[in-house]
Amino acid sequence: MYQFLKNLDRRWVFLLMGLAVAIPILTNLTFPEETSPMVKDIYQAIEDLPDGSRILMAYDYDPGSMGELQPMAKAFTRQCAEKNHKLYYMALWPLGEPMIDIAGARILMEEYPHYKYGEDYVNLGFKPGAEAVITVIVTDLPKLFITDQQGTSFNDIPMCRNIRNIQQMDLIVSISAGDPGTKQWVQYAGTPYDIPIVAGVTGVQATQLVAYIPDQLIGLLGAIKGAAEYEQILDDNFPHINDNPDAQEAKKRMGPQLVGHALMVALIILGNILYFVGRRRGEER
Amino acid sequence: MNREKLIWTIIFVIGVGALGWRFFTTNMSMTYVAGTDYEFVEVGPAQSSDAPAQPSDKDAKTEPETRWVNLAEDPDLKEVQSGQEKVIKKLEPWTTYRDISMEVLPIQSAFKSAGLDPSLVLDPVDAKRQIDVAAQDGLINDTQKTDLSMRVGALERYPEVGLSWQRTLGVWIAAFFTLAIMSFLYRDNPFYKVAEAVVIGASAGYVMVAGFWTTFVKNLLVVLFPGAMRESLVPGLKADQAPDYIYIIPLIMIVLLLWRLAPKGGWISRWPLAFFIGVTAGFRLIGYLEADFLGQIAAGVIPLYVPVEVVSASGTVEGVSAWLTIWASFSNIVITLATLTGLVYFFFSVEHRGIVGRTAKVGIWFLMVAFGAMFGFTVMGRIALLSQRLEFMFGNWLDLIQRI
Repeated sequence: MYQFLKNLDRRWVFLLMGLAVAIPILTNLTFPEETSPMVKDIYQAIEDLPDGSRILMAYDYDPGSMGELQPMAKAFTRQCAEKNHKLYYMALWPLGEPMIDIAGARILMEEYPHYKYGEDYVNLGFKPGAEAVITVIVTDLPKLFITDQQGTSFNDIPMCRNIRNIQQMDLIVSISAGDPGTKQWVQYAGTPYDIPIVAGVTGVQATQLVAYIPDQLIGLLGAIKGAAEYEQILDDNFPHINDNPDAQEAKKRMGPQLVGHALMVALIILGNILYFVGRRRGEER
Repeated sequence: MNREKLIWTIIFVIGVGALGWRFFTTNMSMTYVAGTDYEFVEVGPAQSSDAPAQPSDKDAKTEPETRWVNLAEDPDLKEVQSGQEKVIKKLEPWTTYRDISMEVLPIQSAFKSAGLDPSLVLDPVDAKRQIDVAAQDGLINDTQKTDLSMRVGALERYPEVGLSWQRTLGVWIAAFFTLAIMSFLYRDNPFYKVAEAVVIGASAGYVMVAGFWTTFVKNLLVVLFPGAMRESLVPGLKADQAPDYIYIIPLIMIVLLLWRLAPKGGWISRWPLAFFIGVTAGFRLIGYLEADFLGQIAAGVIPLYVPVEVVSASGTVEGVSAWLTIWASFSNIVITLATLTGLVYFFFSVEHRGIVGRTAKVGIWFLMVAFGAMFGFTVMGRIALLSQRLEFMFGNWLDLIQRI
């Protein structure tokens, strides 16, 4: 048995992990979510703003992290739309622009038809330059965003006419998969200009950004677990969202998470047992 | 044929057979879309000259205000009828399509369950007629008739509903590339190589095109030549946009950077490069100093005793909660301890022996806990990505679960 497990082809482990994720998806295995204090802080930060506040939605991710970030991007859009906030979408990643269409504009068009482009939301599109873009728009937004994504002059867009810089935003919602992303928004906009920021980030980034809470970052949705809790708090407070299957994406992904993590823990324990057995037998590592 | 090849051939044949059977018997990968028509005209003040506006950089400031009207929303141009405005320019009409499979597929299933032809759904008017006929013939009861009519009626708000072969083919291509990339887990193979090459090529092409339109056009050409850009690439540009000739400097820097490709004088590209490196280093230094260095020192100075008050519903303070105070104080003590011992571990100017060594060892334990948390989050992220891909494969492609 020891020799069999020690020489086990790693492709069996891949297959096991594939099954551990696939079976809960096929059986629609889900679990109830409890909302953590940090998620409540984020929800409250958006909720406490007066109706019609200006929110900068920075979608700094691409299809490679859609699985983690798209559910929270959609949820942020939904909560802001419930409060009739004015949404200014932009991206520091080239592929962030289509993400805005999928997880922003489409949600507003289909679920909040009263939202009018140019009056209630605008897609400023992608701008290359990472932190340099933030440094410029924090004092002069139209200098870089001369037009929106569709090519309309910035000053011709009704909701942009009185906007000179992002210091006029009441909140920045940063959804980020890496650099440039939440870290840069904190470094170049939030900290020096006291602009409140809430963020949703990938698991890989979460531990690096926790240190910014609560002084430089109001709250952080970490990976799919944060997204699922955020979906839950929206369901609890807006019952009609509860009926929308598209608004349950992250919660659905928590079933595969549980089984996948259980398998991972089991494999780590098994690997350690094999290591200690091998050491007792005097085998080299 | 060796044993491995035989096994893979059998799996391939069974897989293709199952896919073919599923494709012809279910809604597998079928994508339905609804069209929306757009036809824009540019209108402006009627008192301007009859000739179409030809803005130039020189007279850009005197151009009259114009706006775009969607003929699909206002076909008779009622807003323009006042005589105050006239049509200046007309764009070619176009239609955009969006995926409404999530709406169409459940209605098709309901039709199928009631014994009606599911393809009728695509023509709501005809579908309603067929529902009436089926009800008259006794094939469906009144409840079913009402339910089906209501469901089909919901599709009538779309001017055009149809099966999109292009998007259906797109789903197949996406599924093929997903399987091709995942096949690398078994071993390197030509399918993986093809998928990898396509990803790299498509990404590079996309970034190049996005960079051209968002930076080169919108942040350089538009600023330097607003009149010409308004007439050609960016029709939505404001008429009174004045050129900003300071942007000639970045234009010169672009030329200097591209000089690298010239057979002689490639060293010239080092000047703009040196500028970019200097600016970037400066930006980052300031950012780190303020947000990370000073900001984190300030955030690290926290009280070790945190009394947590209990407040009644009326808002009066009823005292201090012992347990909450212990918990909050314990959290702050752990944060302070972890910060200090972690810093000692990275303090290499003193040999890690005695009290310094023991403190550094505690720091290592805190670091290990942090690495464990990072690993856990990373695993969570990777499983979420796999979940999303499998949801696409099982939902959008194989139609085994609800689509995302």
